[in-house]
Amino acid sequence: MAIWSTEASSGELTIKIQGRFDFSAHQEFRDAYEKVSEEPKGYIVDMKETTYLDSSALGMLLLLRDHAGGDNSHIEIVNCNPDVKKILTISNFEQLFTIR
Amino acid sequence: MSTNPERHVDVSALQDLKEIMESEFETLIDTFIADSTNKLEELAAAIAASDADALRKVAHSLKGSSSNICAGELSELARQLEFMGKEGTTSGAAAILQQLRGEFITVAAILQKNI
Amino acid sequence: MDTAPLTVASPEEPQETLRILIADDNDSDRLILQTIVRKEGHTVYTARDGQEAIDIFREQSPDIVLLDALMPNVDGFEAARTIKALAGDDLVPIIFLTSLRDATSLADCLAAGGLDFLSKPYNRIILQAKIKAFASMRRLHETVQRQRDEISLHNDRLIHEQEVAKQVFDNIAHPGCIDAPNIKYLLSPMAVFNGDLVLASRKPSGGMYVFLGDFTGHGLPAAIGAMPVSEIFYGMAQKGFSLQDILREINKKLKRILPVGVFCCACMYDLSFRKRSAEVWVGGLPDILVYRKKTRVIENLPSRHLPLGVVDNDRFKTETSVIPLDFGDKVFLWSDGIMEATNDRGEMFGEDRVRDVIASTPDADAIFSAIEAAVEKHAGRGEQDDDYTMVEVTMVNEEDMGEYFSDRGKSFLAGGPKDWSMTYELRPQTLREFNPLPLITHLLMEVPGLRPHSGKIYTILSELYSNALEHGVLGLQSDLKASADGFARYYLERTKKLSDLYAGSVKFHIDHHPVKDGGVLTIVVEDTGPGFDFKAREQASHKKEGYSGRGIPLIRTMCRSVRYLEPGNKVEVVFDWHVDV
Repeated sequence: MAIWSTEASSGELTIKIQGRFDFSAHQEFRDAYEKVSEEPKGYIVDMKETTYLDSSALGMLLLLRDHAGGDNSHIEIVNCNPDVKKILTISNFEQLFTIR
Repeated sequence: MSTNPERHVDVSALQDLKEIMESEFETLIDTFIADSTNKLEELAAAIAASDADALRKVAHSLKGSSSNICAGELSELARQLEFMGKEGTTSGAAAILQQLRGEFITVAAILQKNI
Repeated sequence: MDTAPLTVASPEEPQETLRILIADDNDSDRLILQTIVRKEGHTVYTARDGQEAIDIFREQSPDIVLLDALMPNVDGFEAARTIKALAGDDLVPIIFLTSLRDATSLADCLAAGGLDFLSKPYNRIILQAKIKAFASMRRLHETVQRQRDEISLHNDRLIHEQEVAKQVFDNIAHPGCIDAPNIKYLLSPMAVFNGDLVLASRKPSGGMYVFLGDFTGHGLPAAIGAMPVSEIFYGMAQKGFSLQDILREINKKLKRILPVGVFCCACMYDLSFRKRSAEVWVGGLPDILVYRKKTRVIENLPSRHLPLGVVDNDRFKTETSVIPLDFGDKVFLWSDGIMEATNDRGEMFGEDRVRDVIASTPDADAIFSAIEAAVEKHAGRGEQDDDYTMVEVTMVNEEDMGEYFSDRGKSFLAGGPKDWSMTYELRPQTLREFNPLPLITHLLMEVPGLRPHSGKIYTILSELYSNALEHGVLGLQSDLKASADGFARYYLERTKKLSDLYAGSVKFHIDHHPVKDGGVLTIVVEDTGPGFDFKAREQASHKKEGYSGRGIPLIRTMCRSVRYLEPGNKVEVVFDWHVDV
């Protein structure tokens, strides 16, 4: 499992998660959005290389949403594989995040 | 009797031991001589009784203590007796014991001189 | 909970004074060794043979033992074994003193429990180094042991705390009707610490609620939310609140008390025996499966909502799916534990396998145990990532429930006040400052089974009360309300008159008595006004138009009877109700 983040010139922060996204990623995921030089305009969570996520990962996404301003946040979750997408769908996270 | 003490006792090692033992050095020498004298008697008894196991044990002990007191040749003779005992024999041990007695007298003299 | 820090000894402590036992039958060797060791600042005990060494060890329990291998009486090997046994869990480094050279003898030393050798002639530097090394090994061992003991103590305490918490939880989440003959469930005894929760309750109006929840996380953080959920669930279910009301209340509570990121995936199932249908709400759990007994068709009911505790109630949605059910139809609810049970190749059990099991199990009543067995076989008996929580609810004819429900049902409706009457008189100060309707409604809702009628009852009470207050006590004419202008003026006047009210009263007389599967509620409202010509009004009522006069006709549609009593300042409403809504 590895997480890294990149700040784009457009002001968006992209967080990539590789491998299993579960509780062990907790600190790294937080660091990815808390340890940034500037407050980003929006967030992109790239799940291209995420193989699995569990309910604690859903919790972490909610923490990110809270950090990003709750109902006023702009967070896109992109490149989900079918397994990941299914978990997000079961939890109806499309009501809270833009899932592409 | 040989006049070169180095053949019988490692004198520089003995000096180190003396420094470590300080005031106890004399006691050590006395103890060693008394203890070894007893052991010589025990060795003789073991050989007379053809008791190879007793020979092994006493010789083993003498081998250790002579090496600690820096008497290499004495330790070596004790080792030969121990080996014989271990092989289960006492034959030929009397000759070595004889040699060992001579060596012990020499060593004891050198030790006492070094106190 | 106070957590004692684990103590860690520093690995290197200079000038440590150790207590060292030296056992050697050779006087001169012992003297040399003892002198060297003492010069290092340690305390020395000496023994001449193995037996003496054992005796001294017993008395002094020294830190390190230097043991000659060959000694009279008890030799070094045997002494070492005895000393090891005496030391038990403690590490006592035994160093063999030996001029033995052959491999077998050295191996014997190790086998007897020796950790190292020191050969003659002694070398002071090597001896120092070995003593130092073994002293730190001993300290390390002590640290490890102390930590092990602390961890084990910690663990014992944690288990004890969990047991206490579990007991508290069980007291709140009493079994409800989870043992009903039409319910099968799988839930590990400590499941609450995996965040899993299964609740079932009978409804006062007949039928039952089943709730399956799965909190994020494990241990106490996962368990903590289970308490309010069960309390709300059982409290509201017994009072007859709707599925929507209960979910909203749980969501509100969880949103408020749980930290962001902790939430509860859940489904709630409302089974009505009489309507032969069920209402289902799913938020964040795997698809509920509906199994049709006749056709053996399996239908999916996917999660349509966010889990509980994620969003505030203004965004929380309670739309449900309604499914008609025939006798024998089964509904399966589960947490993700079953679906995600993983085999040694990393494959999850998944819905396809569930469907395969159902398809290959012709006996509908064997499906539940077949799924359970298949999951266990799939995952092996190894570690579980999550818990296997599963509930099967079968639609049955209520009469087929046997004594279970008739008994439960009786006792269920038996609790609470059912046969009573009261009079409640509101005098001017109270009329000016207090709305009595919520209080009276609340009181009435204590009648078991009446809750589903709360809307109608509130309407009745509020119509009667406003008539009594406005027309009776305040003397306002409802004719005023005939025009839009007048309507506004009416309420202005109402406010003014009410604030100037110093005489008069409104009296409620409420009577409830039970009948089979329901009750009769009689409400009489009397005011101190002069009364009105209700006969004339009743004749004209059907011609009424405009902004007023709809109250009483509305009430008539809800009740058995509405009757004015002479001289027209008193009205009596009789409301029949039945559990079969």
